[in-house]
Amino acid sequence: MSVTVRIPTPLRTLTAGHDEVAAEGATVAELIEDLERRHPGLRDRILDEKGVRRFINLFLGDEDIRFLDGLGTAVKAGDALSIVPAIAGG
Amino acid sequence: MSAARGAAGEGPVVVVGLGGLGAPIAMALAHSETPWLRIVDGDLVERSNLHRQVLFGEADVGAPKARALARALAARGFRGRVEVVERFLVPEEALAVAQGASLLVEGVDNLPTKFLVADVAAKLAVPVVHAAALRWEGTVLACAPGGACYRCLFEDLPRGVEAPNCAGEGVAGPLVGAVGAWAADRLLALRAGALAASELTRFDGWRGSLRRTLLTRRADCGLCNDERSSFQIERARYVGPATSCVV
Ligand SMILES: [Zn+2]
Repeated sequence: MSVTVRIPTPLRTLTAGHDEVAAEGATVAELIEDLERRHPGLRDRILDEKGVRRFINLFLGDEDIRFLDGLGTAVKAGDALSIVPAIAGG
Repeated sequence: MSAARGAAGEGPVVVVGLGGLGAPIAMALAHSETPWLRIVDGDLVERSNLHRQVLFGEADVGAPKARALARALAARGFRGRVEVVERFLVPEEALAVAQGASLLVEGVDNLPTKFLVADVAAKLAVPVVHAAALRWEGTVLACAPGGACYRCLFEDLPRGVEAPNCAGEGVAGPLVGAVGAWAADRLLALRAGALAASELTRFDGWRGSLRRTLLTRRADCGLCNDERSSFQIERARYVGPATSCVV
């Protein structure tokens, strides 16, 4: 199923500048694998060997996936996944 | 709750970082009957900042931002007390600088200082708002007493990784005004005891969308679940890339 993924400013160099891209998968982990196929390099910016990098948060809709089923969280068509990194600036 | 509310009326609101976010935050607070502000920044006003730091003008170029902001607030009729700290917030004196604060708010341009402010807020048990803006993107994290903290969301600074540096990404001028105003709004809501839970607001200034998410404390957060006294605010805790993002 197709899910919209919101790409934060620092990662848009990997998505040709697009702030939203589509990805397919049944879980958040599958979405990230699909993102990697479409936009090589993206996975390693989101995940490390332990899982989601600690200064990044993934929100499915308004829910932090840590409080759902983490990377195993099921997604459905029309969902939106947001990648929220720690940023500073002003 | 009422005790926290009472306490929040007493000390100064401490604003750390007086750039594109801190200046509108301070102005909004000044216009909201905040009787006492302590404004903290070691930076000088640069001409290249003026487009997004709208309280500063040509005459301020080269002046300490904290001093220039105090002047700007006075020129706009603010009659409250303003304490000027013309230094960057550093671990060695962060607790002293924030001492007595009723509320803390930061809009600083580097991640180590954001973690430092989060830790100081926890040590002093003071509600805090963290604001950030990069390009067209902004986030405001308002931490309610007893609610999720900055480290619940972003656990720690990355260490030893090859972190891409986004310094120089810049920020859209109008966005910082909006994000700064929203940060001040959340601070006033905290002061009024209106926030039962911590919340994260994410702005997309390009698409014009705003999303607000209530946050839950992370069970293994090392800050808000730890005893407040069990860590030291010392420089080693804040060694990390002094960048504006690390993804
Ligand atoms: Zn926490």
